[in-house]
Amino acid sequence: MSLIIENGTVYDPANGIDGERMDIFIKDGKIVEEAKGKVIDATGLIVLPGGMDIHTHIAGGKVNLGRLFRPEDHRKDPVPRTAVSRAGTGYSVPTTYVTGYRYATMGYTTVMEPAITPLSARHTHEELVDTPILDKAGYTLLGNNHFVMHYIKEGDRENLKNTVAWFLGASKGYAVKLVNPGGVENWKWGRDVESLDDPVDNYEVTPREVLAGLARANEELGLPHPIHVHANNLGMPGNYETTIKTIDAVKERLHLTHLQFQAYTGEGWKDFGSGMAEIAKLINKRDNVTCDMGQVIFDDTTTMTADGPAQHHLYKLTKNKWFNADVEMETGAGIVPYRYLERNPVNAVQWAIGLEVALMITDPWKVSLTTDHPNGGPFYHYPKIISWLMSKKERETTLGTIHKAAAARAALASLDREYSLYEIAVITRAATAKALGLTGKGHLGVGADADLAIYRFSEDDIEGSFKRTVYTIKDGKIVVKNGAVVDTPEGRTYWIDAGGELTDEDRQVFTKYYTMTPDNYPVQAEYLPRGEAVRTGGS
Amino acid sequence: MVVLKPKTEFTVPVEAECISPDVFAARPAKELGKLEVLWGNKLKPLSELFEIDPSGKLDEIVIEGDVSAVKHIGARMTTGLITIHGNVGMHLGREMDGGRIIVHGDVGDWLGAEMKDGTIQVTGNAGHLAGAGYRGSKSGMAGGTIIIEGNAGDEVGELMCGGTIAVAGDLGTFAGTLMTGGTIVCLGALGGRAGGAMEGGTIIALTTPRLLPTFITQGADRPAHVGELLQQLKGNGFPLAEEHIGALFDRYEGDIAGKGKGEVLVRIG
Repeated sequence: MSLIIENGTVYDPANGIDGERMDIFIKDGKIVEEAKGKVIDATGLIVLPGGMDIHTHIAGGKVNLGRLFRPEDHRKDPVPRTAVSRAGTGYSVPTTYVTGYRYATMGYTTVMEPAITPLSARHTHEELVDTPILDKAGYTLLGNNHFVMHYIKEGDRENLKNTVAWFLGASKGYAVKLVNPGGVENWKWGRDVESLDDPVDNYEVTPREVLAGLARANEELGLPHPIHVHANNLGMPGNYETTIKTIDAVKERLHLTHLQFQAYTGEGWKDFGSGMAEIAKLINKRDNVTCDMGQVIFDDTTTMTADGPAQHHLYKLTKNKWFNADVEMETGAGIVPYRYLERNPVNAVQWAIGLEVALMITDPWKVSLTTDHPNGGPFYHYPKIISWLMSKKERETTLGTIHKAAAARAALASLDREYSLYEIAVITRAATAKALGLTGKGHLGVGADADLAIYRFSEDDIEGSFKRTVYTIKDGKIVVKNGAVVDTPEGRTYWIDAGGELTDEDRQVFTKYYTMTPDNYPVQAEYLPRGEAVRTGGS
Repeated sequence: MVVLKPKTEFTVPVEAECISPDVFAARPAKELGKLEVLWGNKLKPLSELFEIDPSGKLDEIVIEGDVSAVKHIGARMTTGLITIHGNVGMHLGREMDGGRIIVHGDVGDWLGAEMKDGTIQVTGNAGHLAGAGYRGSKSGMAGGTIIIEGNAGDEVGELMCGGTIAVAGDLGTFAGTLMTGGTIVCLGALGGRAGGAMEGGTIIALTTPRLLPTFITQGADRPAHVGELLQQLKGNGFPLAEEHIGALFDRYEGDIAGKGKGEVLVRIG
């Protein structure tokens, strides 16, 4: 099937195209030089590559527990079925189908689940398969894994590399994820780590060594994405110093996720403020660091993370219901509902810091737009975030309605920078594809996957412009037309095939301590009907 | 007044949030029939399921006939009056914030769930979870009054934080579980485990109940405000005898397994 997108105004930063009127040709799901076929008249519309989300919790055990224990969240957002789409519920932890439909309606075509617990990876992939339209991948939690810490302690680089490769393959993951390295293991004994040099109980390693070890293994395996790091002390006042030390601890490529939650000054909640200026100064000097925003939205949401101790802290603060899990020898998890309030000084400052991430880091190619869905707020709010980034006036309007701490304890009010459409296309598409090493994504050059988002853009209603597309095209098929889902093809799931096998010693430990045998543990290919193995060229 | 009569006996559930004085009064009488209701899983116009006879003001609704399969009548209403001659289904007056509902018959579960204001009066029995909070909610009924002249089911007033529920008959188990405020009055037998995990509010038992062991007696009392509340309920048609009004109560505090700031008053004289 062929399509011609005629006369649209194209923003394709990866190919340096900044608002040029041109035609785009699609054949057999790819962008081609020329083709004959159905014509879509895009006169007066803007044409972008399909949106990409580098960090969104949409599938897996933790997400599903979030669904289970928030019936009140679903009740306010029922979604009826249509002739082509299934019924479901939305809000902060939407059903898998609604997740697919709503991303596609906003023009997004590729999303990353950032926390695969290897032990429940099968569940994650079952949900990813049921998330229609979108291409997906997941990051495997390895920052508190027994075998990883064991080999780091032993200084055994070969076996560390082998372990990382095996766990990526077994969980069908795409990247190495670290969540509060060492801290989640310590949480199993009732504590956390306070700094990069605080020892991990029973392992004689430090978070610094886990970071450095996994960063090096990541490069040695030649993985497309850098280590994806949720640093220590997330959400704690004064944690910007930990973030700076984390950046300094890693010489290799590093992706700092939901940076907003890691950029706080202050001794406590009373003098809580933004530490983003210091962090941005450092990131502006480093070429090995990328990040995503973790923007906060004033809304009712469900926080969920593998960072058990951080969630316990939030539970103590809010007294809301709390879920906690200890996942054998791998990781943990916590879930707490949370409402970000405009009149709450801490929430107001968090809002400002999120925008500072994108506005203070000068190179947009280092930034991806996220809310850490659903932690900072549901992904449905991305259009609002785009409007804040593109318009100082929009920011001032919000600053005028929220707690004055946002203006007093962050520098946001003094920032004049406004994103252009080109730069928005960078942080929602091109930079994300680059950080992920997905060469066929995030651009509209010949050979790229034909994933496109076509919007009717109006300066006066930036939020409305990005809420729904005129057309979303996925693999050359029209999936959304005038804001309505019209087709729901199955998306791909990318995973890393870097080899790796369990050593006899690993096998013995695994058999002795895991509830599952090592032979039943790896996710079979059948669970990824459109799985695409990415083979790595590591040393 | 708008008179609604079901055209048939409903064999599948009907969801009719639109049967509300707020919704009716907001449109011309001739358009009432076009309002949509869910008949099973199909959308139908109201006129297909009900005979509609409007005259005068549209914020007064009278339903004549059995609507026990019809759910969500009076949901979120803020004003006006609904009178139902017959049995009625679940979620009647849920989240209502004003106005009045009178039922001459029995009602299903979730009567007045999470209501904020207004009055509901039922001459027959009510189902489970009257005045309760929906699953996952932090609080149930926050204000207003529910009067049930018959019996009511389990978990009545669960999570309630304000308002009054008065039951002339018996109450099922777990009445007032997790309540943080408001008052439950029970003239008949108060079921087991009443007030479990309650953190506030008052349960008034006019017949001696079997309480959880985590309620501790504080001695006899004749609280003036309880007398006033009972007097007021009597004025609203709740069948109290004169001896109930100035009754002497044994006052229990609990649930001490939790914060223990709730109270159960048990009539002793």
